Amino acid sequence: MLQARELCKNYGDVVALRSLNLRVAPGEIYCLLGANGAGKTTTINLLLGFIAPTSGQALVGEIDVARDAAAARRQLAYIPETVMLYGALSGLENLEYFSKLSGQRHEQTALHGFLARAGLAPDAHARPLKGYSKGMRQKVGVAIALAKQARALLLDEPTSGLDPKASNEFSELILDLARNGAAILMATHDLFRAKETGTRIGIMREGVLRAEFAAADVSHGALEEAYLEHMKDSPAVPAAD
Amino acid sequence: MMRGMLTEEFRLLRREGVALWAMLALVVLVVLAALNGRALMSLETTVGKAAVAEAMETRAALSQQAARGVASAREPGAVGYSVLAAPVLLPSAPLSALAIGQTDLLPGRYLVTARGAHSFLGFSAIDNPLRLALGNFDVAFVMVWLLPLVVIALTFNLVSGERERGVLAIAAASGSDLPSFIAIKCAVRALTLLAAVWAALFLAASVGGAAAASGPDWVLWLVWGVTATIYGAFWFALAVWVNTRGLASDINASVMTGAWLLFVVLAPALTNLAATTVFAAPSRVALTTELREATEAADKRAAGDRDKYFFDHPDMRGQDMDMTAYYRSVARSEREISDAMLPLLAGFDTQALRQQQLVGRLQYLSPGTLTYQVLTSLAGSDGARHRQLRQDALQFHARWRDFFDSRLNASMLLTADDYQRMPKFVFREPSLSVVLQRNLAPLAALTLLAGGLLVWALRALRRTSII
Repeated sequence: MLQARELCKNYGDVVALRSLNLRVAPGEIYCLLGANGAGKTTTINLLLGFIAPTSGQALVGEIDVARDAAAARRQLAYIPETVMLYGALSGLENLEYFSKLSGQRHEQTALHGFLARAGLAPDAHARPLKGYSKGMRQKVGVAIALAKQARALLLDEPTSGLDPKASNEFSELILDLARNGAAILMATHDLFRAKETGTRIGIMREGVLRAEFAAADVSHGALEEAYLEHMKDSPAVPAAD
Repeated sequence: MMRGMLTEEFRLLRREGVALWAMLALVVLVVLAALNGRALMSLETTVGKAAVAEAMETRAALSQQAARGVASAREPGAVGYSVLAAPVLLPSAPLSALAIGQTDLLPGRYLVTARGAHSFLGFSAIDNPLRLALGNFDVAFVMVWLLPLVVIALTFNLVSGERERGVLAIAAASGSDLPSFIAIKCAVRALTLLAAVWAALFLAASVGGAAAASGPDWVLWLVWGVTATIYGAFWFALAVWVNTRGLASDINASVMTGAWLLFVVLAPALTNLAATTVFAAPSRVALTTELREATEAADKRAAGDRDKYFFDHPDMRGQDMDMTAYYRSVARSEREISDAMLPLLAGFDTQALRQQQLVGRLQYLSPGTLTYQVLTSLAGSDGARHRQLRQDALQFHARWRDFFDSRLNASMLLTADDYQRMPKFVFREPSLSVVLQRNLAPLAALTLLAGGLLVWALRALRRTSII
């Protein structure tokens, strides 16, 4: 469903991504690990068509994102690190807003259903988003993806800053989405979450995918060891992530 | 989808509150400004009416005295040079309460007598210097100075705020056409602002007295509103363009505020400075000195006349001079003083006209100046009507003086009927087409500027960065 073929991105002389080959099938959760500047967000931005590749292809289904970003995005949902949305609107109104934006029309009961499925307590649906915790806002982000019935999800460090309970709830949610056939690509720093949630795990460094594991085949300890091994002499936070 | 998104955007705008408070503040300010303008205008009108009433009362009394044969009321010299004055008033323009402009700087009334024109042309009211420095708080001020600030408050983070909130990325990822998404946001804010501006202008017209105006005056009001709208559109377009640069919201706000400072504060101030420096007004001290010298010379000559009179009429020595002879002498003195003073006074007019012409050329450097000039011109307070009043007053003065001088020189006494035959002042109000024609070029320039910038901004919107 999501595919990178020899995908490269340069910012001037800085190489942000070098010949990335990656594939995320429906029902699969692919976790990208790596330090800041490893190329995780660049990969997501290329798949979203927010930036143009220097060479190679980013594909959503059979659609080349660089050629028809709009068609590719119709298949996708995106949850950034911090889902801010509109603080003045309630969770329900935000969901309605973004559903209409993606051309979807849902009844109020359906919208409540998406929020409930995303794990948001019913009494919070009508409250303004500015009073929500980060975890609650992330759930609204998931509800937007649910309402869109997206076939693929791109998550950029979605559990960063969440407390363990909220983080765990979020993992449950995306597992549920994957079970329903969504292809999920998640950039994260959280090794534990990657091992618990992911189907496959990739380790990136300096724009290169250095290693790839099936989550079931690797223990927590081995994953940590491999990650630290690849992070040795990792440069300190370059500009392009 | 478009209709659904428009509804959603209106809901968002309503909930965000700040925008609505800003627009409400705009409406309140416009109404207060209109009330202030009306207060000033009604003061002018009251003073003018009082002058007219007083003159009519005096004339009626003199007419009755002339009918009874009272000598002083029949002597044209005494009546024309000492007793009777004809107030010459600039009629209040229908939109004058919206833009006070130069109304408080230039005389809007003259008290014409048979004496020289210098006697009434020098009239100028003393005003509060702070108000002279800051200008008046009128609707034109709110539109030119404060409307851009409301637009800036509504739009400085139109795109950047969405980007910073991550909404732009989520919106783009949701498959929405980004330029349309932003265009809808712009449209909703622009429409709301447009509604606020026109509601405010309608209230201002009601409060300021223009609502009772005739058809052509409503055309003026409409063009006035269209001018303010185009000016608002310029600031809106500038905000959209700044937002397409991909800068942070705080930088956008700084850039927009800088543009406001440049176009609304600095450019008009520099234009004014350039006009008053390049075409400086003649010295008032020189004018006063010349007046004193001319009066002394005329007095000397008049004293000579009196000596000659008493030499020719030794029987009158020790008595008052014959009234007709005395006023002929006065008339001659006044002409001499006027002949000396008028070229100097004309110097003020010439420089004022040159200043106005220079401002007319430099106004194209700033949309703020351009708009202010158009708004005051449409309201009849840009100085053009005042210059017209001055010309008409001078022509009226010539007829008024001739009325008395011809009778004085022919030794004809005034009758009660003569008081009805005295010249009447009529102000030649410029026609609607003349006013509109005068503002066509600046209005076209403003429209081109706003339209061009808007097209440029909307094109740039297509290339704006999502992240």
